[in-house]
Amino acid sequence: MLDKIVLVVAAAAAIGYIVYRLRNSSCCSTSGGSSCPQLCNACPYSAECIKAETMDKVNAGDRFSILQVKDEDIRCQLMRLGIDVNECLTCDYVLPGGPVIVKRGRQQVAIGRNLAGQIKVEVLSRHGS
Amino acid sequence: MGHETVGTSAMAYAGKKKIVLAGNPNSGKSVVFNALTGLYVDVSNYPGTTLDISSSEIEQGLLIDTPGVYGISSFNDEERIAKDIILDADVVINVVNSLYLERELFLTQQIIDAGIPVIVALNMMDETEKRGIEIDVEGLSKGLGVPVIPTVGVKRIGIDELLERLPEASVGNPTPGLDELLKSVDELLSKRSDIGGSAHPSPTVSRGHKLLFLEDDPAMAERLGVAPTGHREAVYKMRREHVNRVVSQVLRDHSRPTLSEKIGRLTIQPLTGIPILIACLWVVYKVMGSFIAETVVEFTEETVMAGLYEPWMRSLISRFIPSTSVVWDILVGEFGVLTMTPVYVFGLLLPLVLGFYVFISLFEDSGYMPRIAALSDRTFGSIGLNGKAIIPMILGFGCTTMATITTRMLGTQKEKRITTFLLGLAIPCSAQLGVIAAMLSKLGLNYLAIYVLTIIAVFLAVGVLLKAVLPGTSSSLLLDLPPMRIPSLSNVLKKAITRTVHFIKEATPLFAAGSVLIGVMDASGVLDVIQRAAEPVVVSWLRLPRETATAFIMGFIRRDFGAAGLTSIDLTRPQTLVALVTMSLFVPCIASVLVMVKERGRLEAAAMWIGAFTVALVTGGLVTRVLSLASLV
Repeated sequence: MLDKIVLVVAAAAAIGYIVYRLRNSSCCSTSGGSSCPQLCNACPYSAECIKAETMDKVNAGDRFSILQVKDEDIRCQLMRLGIDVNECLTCDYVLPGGPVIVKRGRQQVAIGRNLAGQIKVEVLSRHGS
Repeated sequence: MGHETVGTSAMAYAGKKKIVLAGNPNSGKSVVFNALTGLYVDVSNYPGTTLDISSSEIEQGLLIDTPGVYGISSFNDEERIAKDIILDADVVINVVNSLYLERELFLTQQIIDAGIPVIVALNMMDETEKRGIEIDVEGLSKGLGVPVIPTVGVKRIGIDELLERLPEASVGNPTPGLDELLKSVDELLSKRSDIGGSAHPSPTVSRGHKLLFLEDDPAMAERLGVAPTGHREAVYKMRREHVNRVVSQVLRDHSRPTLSEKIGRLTIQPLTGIPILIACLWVVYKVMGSFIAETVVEFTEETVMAGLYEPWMRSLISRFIPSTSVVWDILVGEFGVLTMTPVYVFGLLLPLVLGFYVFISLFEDSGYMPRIAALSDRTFGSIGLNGKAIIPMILGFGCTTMATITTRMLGTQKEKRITTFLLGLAIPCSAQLGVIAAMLSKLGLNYLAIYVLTIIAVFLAVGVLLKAVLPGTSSSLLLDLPPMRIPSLSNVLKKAITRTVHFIKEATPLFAAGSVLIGVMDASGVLDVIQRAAEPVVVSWLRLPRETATAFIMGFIRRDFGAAGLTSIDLTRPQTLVALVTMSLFVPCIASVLVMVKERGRLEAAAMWIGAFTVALVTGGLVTRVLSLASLV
């Protein structure tokens, strides 16, 4: 009997914890782009957000779209080069420890590792998949 | 080629229609400019910058070139200048690289939004067709609301039609929704003039100025006396979406990766990129150090200048002034202003500087420079910079003074400080590099390796130290990588010649002044006093002959002047290496110091000067000791 009570309490605590994490996770309350899923790096339970990560994590050949760029100057400079939020891009090459080379059409842009780490992206497909 | 400011050049053509050529970097703008103009071109230096603005009088008016930009804002010097010239235009010929429509049309649409009549030269159409990219030219013209002429600048295709149809240039279709936002600017400006907040009433403000104000351009906000509205991003987004819509309606892309794209990729992958970079630098070294510094300079310096010019000048002066007088010595003596200066400048430096600028222009025009920046981003990160800093560094190998001005392109104050100091300390200019390369090539590979490693070690050590010590942050790399292509030889030569002329103009007066100074010091015996006073440092610390002090005194004026001075001193191999290392790291030249003061202020410039002096002497002394230790082992 005691065993069953312990099991039920443990299960309830686990469910409670999961619900608590889902409801209080700050990223799930922030809105991403209009047509892209929310930014939920810290929400491993949310299926729709599972692919969100930063640009420095993408690999050569991956297709992705930008969800969020924090700095307005950078957003504007990227927009002039033809790269906008929600746009589908390809990672052309990643220099080890160095910049990420992204491609849109034939346009290639080198984005420094630190900056790439601040740009949230959604990976649409992995290289070879 | 007349070098004057754009202001004076424009005044000379007052009343003429101002036709401005605008476009993105690498859109083939300069080729179109050359095709439109022909031989008679004015190259003017834009005040306060290193940027050259070409202009030429053509039948239709005054054609003015602008620097290649992605938009007219205030992100850098080029944009500020392009913005001023474009907003002042009567008509704009917008050169568009048809291979990159989406990127290129942002600027086109921005100029249309500014209400300036535009005609588009859709350039490089041969390459576009060859790659299987179809563009509906008529559809594009309809979408933008301006005439679009397909051109191939290098083959002059479409150039005559462009000129014929210039009168058809029109203001085009503004970005949908923009006019409403511009109305709000009108309201804001009228409110401001109601309360008498500014001397400029709103009716005199052009649509272009209002647009730039709406896009939060700081210079425009200041000019209008109103705080920015914070609409830039919204306007950019509207424009980007509009351009994307237009492009999606007119572009069909069936292209495959080309050879130039594959080569471009090889140059940024470290496994292939680093060997390619080393191979390129090796070619530069071989051509500069062996061919130009030895064969060419031997002819220009020894045969022409020292063999023909010097004796002629001496005999000419001797006719008027006795060779025993001090004036004769100052004019045509050992350090003579009419002998040493022209021999150094025209015999030694001119071929070296020209050779170097040909290489730099080749790197720029082939699209290789941004790839070197991407490749070196990680290394530069360790010294508080990003890969973009390689551009002033490489330009510094041409002329440190001009490169110091280009540090403005860097993102933060910390980056500007670090780059300026490293330029002043460890980047030898082409003139100095040529002299050094010629001297090093006589020492052998071991000495070359020690020299290169010492300079790189000092560069990195000082960079790491500055990164740790200086306050502030560094920005990240964000760089467009243009396609690799075979550069146009005429453009490369034109660029190299223009830059060399700048260099010679800047260096010659300093050389002449230096010659006079050294000549007077020599004649008055001051040089001997200084040589004796410098003995503890030169002889005891650096273990060099006493007369090397003269070369270092010359180095205070210009390092290449000093390095050239070393050639006439009898030195052993280790002594040559020590002298070259010390001279390479020695104080920046007077012109560089003046630019440093202008860019960074007196205090910082003084600190940098003292810093370079100390680092040079400390390193030189250490190298001497390491070399003598190594020879003992």
